[in-house]
Amino acid sequence: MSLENKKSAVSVTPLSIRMRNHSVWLGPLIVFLGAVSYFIYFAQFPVLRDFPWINFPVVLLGCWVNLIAIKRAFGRSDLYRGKLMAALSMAFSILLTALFASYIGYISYQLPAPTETTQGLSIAPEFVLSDQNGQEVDLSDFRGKKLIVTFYRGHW
Amino acid sequence: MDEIRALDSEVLAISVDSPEQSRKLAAKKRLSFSLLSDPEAQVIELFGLRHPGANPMGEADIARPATFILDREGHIVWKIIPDNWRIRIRPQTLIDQLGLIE
Repeated sequence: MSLENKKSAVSVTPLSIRMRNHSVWLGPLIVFLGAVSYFIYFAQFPVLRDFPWINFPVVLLGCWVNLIAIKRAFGRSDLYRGKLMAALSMAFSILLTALFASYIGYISYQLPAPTETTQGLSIAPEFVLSDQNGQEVDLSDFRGKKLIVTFYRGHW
Repeated sequence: MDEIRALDSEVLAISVDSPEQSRKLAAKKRLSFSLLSDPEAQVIELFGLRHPGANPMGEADIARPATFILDREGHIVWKIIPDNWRIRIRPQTLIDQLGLIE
C-alpha cells in the first residue's frame, strides 16, 4: 500500500513541493572553497603549494556534485526543480575550475626568460639599499660571510 | 633562519616595496632578516631581473623571482631563476648549498 502511495505521489508532484536539489548550490560552493582555500591557506605548505594535492581534488569533487545536480534537474525533473539554476551553477563551477587550473598550470609561469645579464653574473654587483627600518645596507659589508640574496615580487 | 646563521650566513631579500611596506611584512611574518627596498628597480636591473609590465601599481617594473648564493668574497656560487612565481625554493635547499661553501 505504501508503495502505491509513493508511486502516485511521484507522478503528480506539483512544482511547489518537488524536492530541492541541494547539489545545485553545494557543487559550486565546494568548487569555490576548493579554489580560494589554496590561496588563503594551503599555499603556505610547500608540498601543497607546488602542486595543489588537496585543492584540485576538492575542486573536482565540487564539479562532480554539480554534475549530480544537472542529472537530477534534467533527468528527474519530475522530482527536482531548478533546471536553469543547475545549468548556471554548472557553468560557474566549470569556469572557476578552468581559472584555477590555468593559474596553477599556465598563468603563474608567465615570467620573462632569464636574461643574459642574470645568466652571466659571476660576481654580485655592488649595491646599497635601505632596509625595512630605514637603515642603509651595503652589500660589501657582508664580505667574509656567506650570503643569500633573493629577489621577490613584492606588493604582499 | 637560525640554521642559516649557524652556517655564518645572512639573508638579504630585495623588492620594489617601500621600507614602510617591508616593515609591515617583516612584522606580520616575523622576519628577522633584511628586506631591502629598491623602488626604482635599479639593483633589480643590475641583476637582470626586471619583469617588464608586471607591476599593476605602475612605477617601476617588479623583479622576477630569483635567488643567489654568494660566497665570502661575493662570488655568485649558486643561483636559481624559477620559471614560475608560484613555486618557491625550499629553505632546506639553500641550507644544503650554504653547507657546501667553505
